[in-house]
Amino acid sequence: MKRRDFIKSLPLGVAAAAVPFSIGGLFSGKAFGRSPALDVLLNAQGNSNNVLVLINLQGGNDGLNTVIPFQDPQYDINRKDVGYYTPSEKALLTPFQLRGDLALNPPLGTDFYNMFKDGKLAVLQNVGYSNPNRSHFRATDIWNSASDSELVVFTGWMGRYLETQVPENYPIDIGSSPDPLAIAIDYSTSLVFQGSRSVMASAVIDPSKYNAAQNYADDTPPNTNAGNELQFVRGILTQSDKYGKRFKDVFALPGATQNTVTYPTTNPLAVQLQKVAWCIKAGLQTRVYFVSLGGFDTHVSQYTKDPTQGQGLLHTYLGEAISLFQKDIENMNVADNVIGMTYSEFGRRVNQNGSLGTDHGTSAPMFLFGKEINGEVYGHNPKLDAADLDVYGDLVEQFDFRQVYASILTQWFGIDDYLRKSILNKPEFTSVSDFQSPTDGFKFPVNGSGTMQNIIRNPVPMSVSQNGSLAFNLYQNQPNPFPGITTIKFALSEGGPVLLEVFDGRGSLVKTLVNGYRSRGENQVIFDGLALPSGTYYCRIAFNGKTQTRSMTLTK
Amino acid sequence: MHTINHLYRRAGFGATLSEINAAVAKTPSELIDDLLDDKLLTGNYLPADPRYAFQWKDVVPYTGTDLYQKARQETTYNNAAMELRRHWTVQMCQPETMLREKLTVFWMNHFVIEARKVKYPICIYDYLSYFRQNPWGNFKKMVADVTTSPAMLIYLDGILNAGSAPNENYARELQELFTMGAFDKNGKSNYTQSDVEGLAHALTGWTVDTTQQSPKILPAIYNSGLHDQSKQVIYDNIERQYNLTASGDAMDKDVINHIFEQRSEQIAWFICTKLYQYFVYADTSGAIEQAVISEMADLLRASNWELKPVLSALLNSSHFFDEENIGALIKSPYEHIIGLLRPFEILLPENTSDGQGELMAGSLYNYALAGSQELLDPPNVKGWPGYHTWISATTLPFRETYIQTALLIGGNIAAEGVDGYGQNNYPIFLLDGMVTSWGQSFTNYAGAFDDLVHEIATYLCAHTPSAKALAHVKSKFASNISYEWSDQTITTSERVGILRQLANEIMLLADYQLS
Repeated sequence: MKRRDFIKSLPLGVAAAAVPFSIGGLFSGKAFGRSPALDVLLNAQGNSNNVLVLINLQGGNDGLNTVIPFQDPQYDINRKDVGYYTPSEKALLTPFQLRGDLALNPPLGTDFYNMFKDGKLAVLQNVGYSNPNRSHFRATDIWNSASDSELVVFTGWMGRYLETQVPENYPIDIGSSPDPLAIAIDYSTSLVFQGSRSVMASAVIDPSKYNAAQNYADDTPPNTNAGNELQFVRGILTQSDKYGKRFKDVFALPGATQNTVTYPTTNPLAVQLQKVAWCIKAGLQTRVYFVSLGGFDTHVSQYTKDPTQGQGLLHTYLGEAISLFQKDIENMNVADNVIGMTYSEFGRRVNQNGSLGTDHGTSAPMFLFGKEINGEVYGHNPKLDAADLDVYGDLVEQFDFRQVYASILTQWFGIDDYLRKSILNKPEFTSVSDFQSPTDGFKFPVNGSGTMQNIIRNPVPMSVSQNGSLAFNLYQNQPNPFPGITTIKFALSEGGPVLLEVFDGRGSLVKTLVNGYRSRGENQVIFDGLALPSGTYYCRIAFNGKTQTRSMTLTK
Repeated sequence: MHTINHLYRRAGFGATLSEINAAVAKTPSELIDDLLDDKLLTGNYLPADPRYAFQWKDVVPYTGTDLYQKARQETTYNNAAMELRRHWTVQMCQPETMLREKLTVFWMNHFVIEARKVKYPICIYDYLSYFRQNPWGNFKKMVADVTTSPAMLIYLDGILNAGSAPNENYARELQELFTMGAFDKNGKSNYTQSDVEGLAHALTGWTVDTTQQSPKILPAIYNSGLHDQSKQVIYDNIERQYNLTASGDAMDKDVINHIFEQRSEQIAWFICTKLYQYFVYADTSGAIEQAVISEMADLLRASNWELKPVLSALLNSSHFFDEENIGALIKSPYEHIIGLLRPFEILLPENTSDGQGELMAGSLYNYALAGSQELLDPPNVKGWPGYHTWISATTLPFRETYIQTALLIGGNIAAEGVDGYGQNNYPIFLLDGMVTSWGQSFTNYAGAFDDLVHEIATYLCAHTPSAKALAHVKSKFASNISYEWSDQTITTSERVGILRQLANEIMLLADYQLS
């Protein structure tokens, strides 16, 4: 996790124009700022207003009692005491049926159910990843970093995406947007927003009561642990100062904190989404919002059916908050560019435990909602037969969660192939079909079979690479950690001069692997670390005035 | 002085100038011995029970259905939790036992419980007191004691982990968070899902007796009828019957012993990493950090899990005093809040009959809450992640408000609210006289203003802030301030105003957020 001081000790100023490439022309007239490629990416497609609301359900929401396969005899056998078992219990599900064998948990509420009826709520079943981790913290990190189960990645998928939208020395220089790129309605931000250089979101409990911190110009601190932390605090000071003034202006306008619906103050999720609605209505150029609801770790007394306690109460909160939020932004005519997504670190064990609860499990359903969402059930019902479960009695996923992320990045934010691959840590990842499920581009199977359909109703046209602009991606080396020799791959949208270098943990240059012209598409190079001590190394590519860095672990 | 200040900030919550000056006469090693003195864990060094303990100590949990009775019980729990927080805050403010309390905070954030789930005040208080009395004890014994403590049995569902239908909650966190971590230092998994399940079975048998009356209610008890005695495979492919420490059953193996035997290296590395992060620096990925942690881990194992030698070695090391790491920690809300009181010698008296210290501590509660730290109720079983999460665009302005309120607005730091027992929280005043004597304790009080700024900033911050930062501080004063400060006609109360402003500006620097 030596990201910060590593970055600081690299000769950053050399990154763009001063890179000693022998081939001229490409950098002429270009300063250190944003590359034209990125500008095309950001501005040319008219999609810069699209907003994503992330709703994190913390603790592991029990998927089987969220989207309930109530006709499955295995459901009855496994969930006698924590599910809908008796005929009278099952009758409660009738008004909430998604189809004949599947229903939403009634505490989610009629308004939430009606979003499905109105085609604004997509239910994706069985979303997970292979070799699932059952630790709250590791599993949360996997979802936020979009990493493989075995790969520890210290940046978040949204952080990596948003990082492409700002100047390199963000947040000291916050770039052209007057607003935070992302806002977490919380005291601190989440790993999901961690970029390779800094956090890409501002944590704000209440933007309308925001109190700007004082900022002042200062010298660059020494490159020590202490100096790096000082730099970190100063970055937050800068953010707080700039965004604070902006919030003050925005929320001083009359009606800025009025809503068209009443968000109950007793609903902890609703009060967060209320603030998101203010920000959207105010026209903040914030792209991503993060809200969360905790308490889903229902080892004991799960109370799925009871809307006043346990999981039932949390579902009351969830359904009420989302449906109110959707109604609110529609009433305010700002709903066209907003979608939301729920995610939780895992679902829960198929078989209930001995304490009227459930233990940590694996895949679970996700909800996506909004006017631009194709509201359907995607995927088959969870396969509950013992033969279909893993050795621990847990569900096997149908979709990898990064298929969903890929859809959002591509079809909602208009990110091109190369950038998307980089953001999702999947070198081999070219489309959704790279995962095990049969899919078509970014389409998902409606009801588990038959029609393939995009979740996003009107995908933003993806462009950039096809337009001849320049993009690139440095993949994670394979294998990693590596015992001595490893392969580093990178992809270029067009041929051009590349500088690929390896640095050690202190930022000293170890080896220059490439310094010259490389052709379009995938390139690879072998890195021989046999003579080097074990430790963390950093591989950095410089191309078209931009850099990208990945860490590699040499373990002998 | 710079290094003593560092020691007291890291091993405690900061120190007054006079405490630092008194310490100069001693060697670092003597100071550290004083902080780690076992006498601090006994007798009068331990706090008296909270004043209203009689209201909740013997409350038998209400199990009926009457809503009024239920609500009354909830109120009792909430009041008790508030009182325990205040009682604890007062302890953090006491200089002599600073390291004991700093470690109590550490252990409560390692072996996490949440008051909102545990509820029974006596269990929470006993649990907290255990760490206060064993802050540098034996780690293995700590794990065993925690495992069978009423608070933990309630918190991670041990009381419901029985027989053949176990609940995995504690078995998982015992490994992942309390002992070895999910991964070893090479990134290899320390256990499998089978180990979690095996351990859950092996840990069955303990519950909390909620029926027993005085003298001490809610004891943890072992009930062999609840213990799953079937054989389990944990880590080593050998089927064994496991028992729990002190259960008295003649089984193949004590489960805590087994964990510490099988994962000795991983456990030592894991807990030493956390201690290192708490006392030295959060980012341990570098080679030097890893080398220090390895040494600590070796020492911990060699001392058969005794923590005191490890803590002593760490605090005595040149690495601990390395300039690289001084000022590299980010203050937690409590470190920040108490860190402002200590330099001004604002005392929160302990064990007074009117509860003055506790009522003053009650005034600080809202600031800590605004900084996202509510004692006894961390966000989840992993505790506060600390480090960068303490500072955000939300919490930083709250910290500034606290500083400005404390220093500029008449010194009435906070006085809002009535406690659950009908008493008003006490305001905390930073009176003009206190500011004057604080100012006079600096050698440059009678000297040039620039030198005074330099001296005070060096004292309040881990490192002397940069020239630009100090220039920024001075820019908040009129341009003739240097001349005015040296003018003999300037009044004491004018000096107080300047000193308040000066402390305020320095504490608003990014530098002050660091320890």
